Amino acid sequence: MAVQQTIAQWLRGEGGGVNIPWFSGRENGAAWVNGWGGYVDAQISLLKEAARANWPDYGPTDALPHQAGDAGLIVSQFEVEANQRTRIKTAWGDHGRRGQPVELLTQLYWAGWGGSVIVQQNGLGYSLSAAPTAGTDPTGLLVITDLGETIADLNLFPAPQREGITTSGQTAALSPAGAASTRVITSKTIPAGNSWWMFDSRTDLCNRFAVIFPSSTPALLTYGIATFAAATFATVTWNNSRRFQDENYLTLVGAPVVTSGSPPGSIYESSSGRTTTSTTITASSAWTGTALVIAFPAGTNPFCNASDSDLNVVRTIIRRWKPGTTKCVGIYALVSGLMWGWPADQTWGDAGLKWGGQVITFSTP
Amino acid sequence: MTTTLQQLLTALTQTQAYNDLLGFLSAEGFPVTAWPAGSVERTEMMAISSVLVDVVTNYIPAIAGGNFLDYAATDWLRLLAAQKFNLEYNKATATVGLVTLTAATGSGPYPFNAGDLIITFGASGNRYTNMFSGTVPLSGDLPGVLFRAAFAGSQYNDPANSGDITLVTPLPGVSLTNPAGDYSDPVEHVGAGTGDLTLGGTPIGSHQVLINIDSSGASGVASWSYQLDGAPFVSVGAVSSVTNLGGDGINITLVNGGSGTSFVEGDTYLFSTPGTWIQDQGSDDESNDSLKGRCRGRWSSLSDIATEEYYDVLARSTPSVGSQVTQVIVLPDAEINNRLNIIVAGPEGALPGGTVDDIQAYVSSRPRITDNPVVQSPAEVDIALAGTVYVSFSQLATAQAAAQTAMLDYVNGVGINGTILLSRIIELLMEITGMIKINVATVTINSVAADFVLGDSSTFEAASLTIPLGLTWVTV
Repeated sequence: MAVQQTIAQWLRGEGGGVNIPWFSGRENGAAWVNGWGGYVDAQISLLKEAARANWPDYGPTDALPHQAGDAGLIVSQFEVEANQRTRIKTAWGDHGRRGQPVELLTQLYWAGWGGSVIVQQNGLGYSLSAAPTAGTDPTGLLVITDLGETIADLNLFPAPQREGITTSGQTAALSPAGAASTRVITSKTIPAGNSWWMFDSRTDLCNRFAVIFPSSTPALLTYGIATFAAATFATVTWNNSRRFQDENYLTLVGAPVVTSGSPPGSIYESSSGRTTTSTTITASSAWTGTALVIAFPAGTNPFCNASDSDLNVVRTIIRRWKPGTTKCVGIYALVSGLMWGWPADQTWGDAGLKWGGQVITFSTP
Repeated sequence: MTTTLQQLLTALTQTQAYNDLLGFLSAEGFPVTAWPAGSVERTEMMAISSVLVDVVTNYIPAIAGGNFLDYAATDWLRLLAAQKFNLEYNKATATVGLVTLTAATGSGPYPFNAGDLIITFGASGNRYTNMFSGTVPLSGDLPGVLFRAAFAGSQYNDPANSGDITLVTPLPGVSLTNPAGDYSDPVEHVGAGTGDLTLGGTPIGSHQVLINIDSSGASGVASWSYQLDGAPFVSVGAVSSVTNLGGDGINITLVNGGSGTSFVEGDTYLFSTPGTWIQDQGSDDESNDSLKGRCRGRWSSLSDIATEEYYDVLARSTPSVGSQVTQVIVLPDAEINNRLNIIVAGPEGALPGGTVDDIQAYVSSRPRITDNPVVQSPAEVDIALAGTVYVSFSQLATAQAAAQTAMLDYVNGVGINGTILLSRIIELLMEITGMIKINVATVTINSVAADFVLGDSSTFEAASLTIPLGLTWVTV
């Protein structure tokens, strides 16, 4: 078997290469061989790297989004690079589960939209019991929930009416004289005691579902932890590196959590140290501990907001991974209080409940 | 240091390669900066770098980029599609259409074989050749002669009733027409029924009508429903005919077949108005973007559950259709569970009924259980542009031709249910050589100074630009 060697080694005559001892064995000749050979070796290395650029285990970091795109995946700023490489390599398995709720939930998780719940009009809810593992079939994590039951028959479509069809083939309201035939529009009655999720009065469109977020998820909350180690300043890096396009955003600095020593008199943000991905928190005196910092665009809810690009990602994922004949009617994020219908065992009127709360709706295209 | 993808994709110049080589030699102690211009050393290094410039300029970027859909193009892309995704690109197709040959009194008969007749359209200069043999009768008509474009490509899409078709291979006394009736012909029927439709009336506008037989029987006994331009189906019951369908002047009569069950439940009948002389629409080689889309969509075929992308790929990959399909949108029906509307269009807009039928047959053979995919073409909406533009006097003719081309490319390429942007029209017109200024306030789309939105969630429309453009040209 041939011994692998570089061009430089070959030019130096190593391992049976070019034998020019009078040239490569002398100082200037050796330098020339090393320089020229080294340059050619560098180009060969680049050729090898170019060939491997689209291999998940070998491609450079900036090739991963392109590899993912070719594999029908979206890699996000919320997952580490090793995770992205594994997912790209194992895309075959993921796509085999296209259309299944477990895979839609998993793809949303990787995009930073974890903790989601799929609720179907016909009474089933789906969620994941734990974080999925890249490259591993997540089916075992699927939790199937029977949604709340109807307490009375559902018959919400407009009252049954008779529609006339004239001999010219045109429809007409009610029953005109001389109608060639008639048809009766009725609703579909859903008997009481059936699990159900009501989007509207249509009881016949059971191909509909929604994605709800009963709790915060990384894509909806931009935050960072300022860690002070006997210092008067700390740099906070946002969990969502793509949240802001410029430095025009607001922050909420939380109360200091002291781990040793005394607390500072005050802590605040130094806007001069702000970038799109981080900011600097300053303390009035050196201290040791942490502080939670939340960032949000002006005019939005600090605890539930999403960038247009992140919203487009979740819409793309839903559209790509749902069955073709189904329709997602919306994305709902619970900001405070309780949400109608979830959790499924929540009963209105239970002791301790209070009116009020907020749900933010993100529409699907 | 790890090389990034962007570095691999960047083509170096010979000078940069030369400087790189000097860097390696300098690291080995050579006094590269002391070598004067024209010296043996510098000349030698320049010669070596010229030998390797192909590697650094072409090979490395091409190898790196050729394996990514985002960067591969044409030959590299087709290789990548075939090797990694098992997809062959759709090759260009030739236009095929029907022409009527008419012999004047006393002329003929003229028998001919396939390939004997060559015709040319005066306006475009496009040539076509007959596909089958036939005979023009003495003093009579020979309708329905199939002619095929001389070359494949979308430019072979001459209009119906052109009035300017001549025989390159002369037959004395014979004139040619390419008529298109009020309706597409024939009505495309899918199913086992022996009945057919007779169409009449005076249709208003461009429409596509899909008839679905809801229960079997003869005309007047079978119940049926219709879908107009992709809107929800409307049941008409067990009637033998309908007049003025949808208020668009379309009359439909169900005609019984000679034997067997005339109208069978589940059968469909598809037609459009106005008709066309084109049987198969000519198209170019599949574009890079289309092939990339099919490659990415290929993943959807791994699942037993059909996603929207799965049906998109099916529509674009119908074997007998080739690259005729350049636009696809897939939407769940707003009224019927598990019905999927698959709207397809070609480079010139709505596809011929036969082509839609072929796609329907291909898709219908491969759905998920309980899915009901319905393939249809969008209705064509005429788009009239108006506005006052100022152009250099000497470049008026050139600018007018360029404006027509630019507007055709943009408007007809907006896509099914797309939005025609007023700002984009103005931008494209201003880019034309010779254009001096545009009176923005006068620019309208269909008489309205606003963006034009095609279709909605239940109706599907594609744009068809009105030619010549309604622009007012003021020379300066």
